[in-house]
Amino acid sequence: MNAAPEYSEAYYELIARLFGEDRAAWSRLPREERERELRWYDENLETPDDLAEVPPELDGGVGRP
Amino acid sequence: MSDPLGFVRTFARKMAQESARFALTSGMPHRMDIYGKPPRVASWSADADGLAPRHVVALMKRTDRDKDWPFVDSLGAQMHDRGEPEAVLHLQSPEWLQRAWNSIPEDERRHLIRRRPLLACVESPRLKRLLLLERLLWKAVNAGRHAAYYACWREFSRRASPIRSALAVRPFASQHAALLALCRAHALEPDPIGRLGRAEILDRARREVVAEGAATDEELASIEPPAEEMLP
Repeated sequence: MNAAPEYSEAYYELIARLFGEDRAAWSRLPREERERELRWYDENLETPDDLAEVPPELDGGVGRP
Repeated sequence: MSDPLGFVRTFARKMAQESARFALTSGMPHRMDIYGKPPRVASWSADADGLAPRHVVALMKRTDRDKDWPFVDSLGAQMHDRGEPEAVLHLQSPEWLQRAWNSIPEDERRHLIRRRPLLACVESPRLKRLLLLERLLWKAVNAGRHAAYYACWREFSRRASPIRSALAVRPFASQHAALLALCRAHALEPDPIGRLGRAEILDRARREVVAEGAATDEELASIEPPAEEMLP
C-alpha cells in the first residue's frame, strides 16, 4: 500500500462541511492511528465477516464459523 | 465451456488472494463489495493497490440516495488534491469545481466538457442551480435504472426466495451454480435496462427534472451528459 496522501487543509474543511466536525477530525488522524482504532473495534466487538462461508444472518461471523 | 464454474472459481480464488494481500500489506481487517457490473461504469482497471480507483467509486456513488452524494464530492476533492484532472467530473461544491476547472489546461477541456457539459457553465452565476439540476438528473436516471432491475427481479425473487435461503449455507461457487440454474429455470431477464430501453429511462428522467426542478430546455441541454456516460 502507498502511504496515505496528505490532503490540503481545504479538503478537511470540505469534509467538515459535508460530514461534520467529528468525521473531519477522524480523517485528520494519521493513517496508523485510524487503523489501530479500527483494528481494536474488529477484535473486540462483533463485526461479522461478510465473506464467511456461513453468512451473518445464519449466525456466522468472526469466531463463529 | 467444459467448466462453466471455472470463471467463478478463478474469481473467488483471485479475490481471496487479493484480500489476503491487502490484509497483509495494510495490517487491517477489511470488507469487500462485489459487483458483477458496477453501475455507471463502462470499464475500469484497478489502481496500483489492486483496488477500484476513486473515479470508479465516485461513479458508483451517483445514486438516488442523498447520503451518497457527499462521497462523490469528497472523492472529487481527493482526486483534485492528487492532481487527477478527472476530479472535475465529480466535484459538487461550486468553489472547488471552479478552482479545479481553472487548473485544467485549455486543450484538455473540450474532452471533459463532452463528458460533463455543466463544465462549460462553471463561471455562470447559475452554477449552483445547474449543479442541483444535474444531480437531480443523475438521481432520476438511477431510480429508473434500479426500477428496471427491480421489476424483473421482483417475481423471480418471490419464486426463488425459499430456495435462496437454503442455498446460503453452501460454499460460494456452489451457490453461484445453483443461482444460475434458478435464473435460467425462471427466465430471469439478463438485460433489464435493454428491455425497458435506455432512451425510455433517460426520457423519464428528463421529465422528472422538468417536473421536480422546473428545468427549462436550455438548462437541461446545459447539464445532460451523453447517454453512454449515464447508462453505459
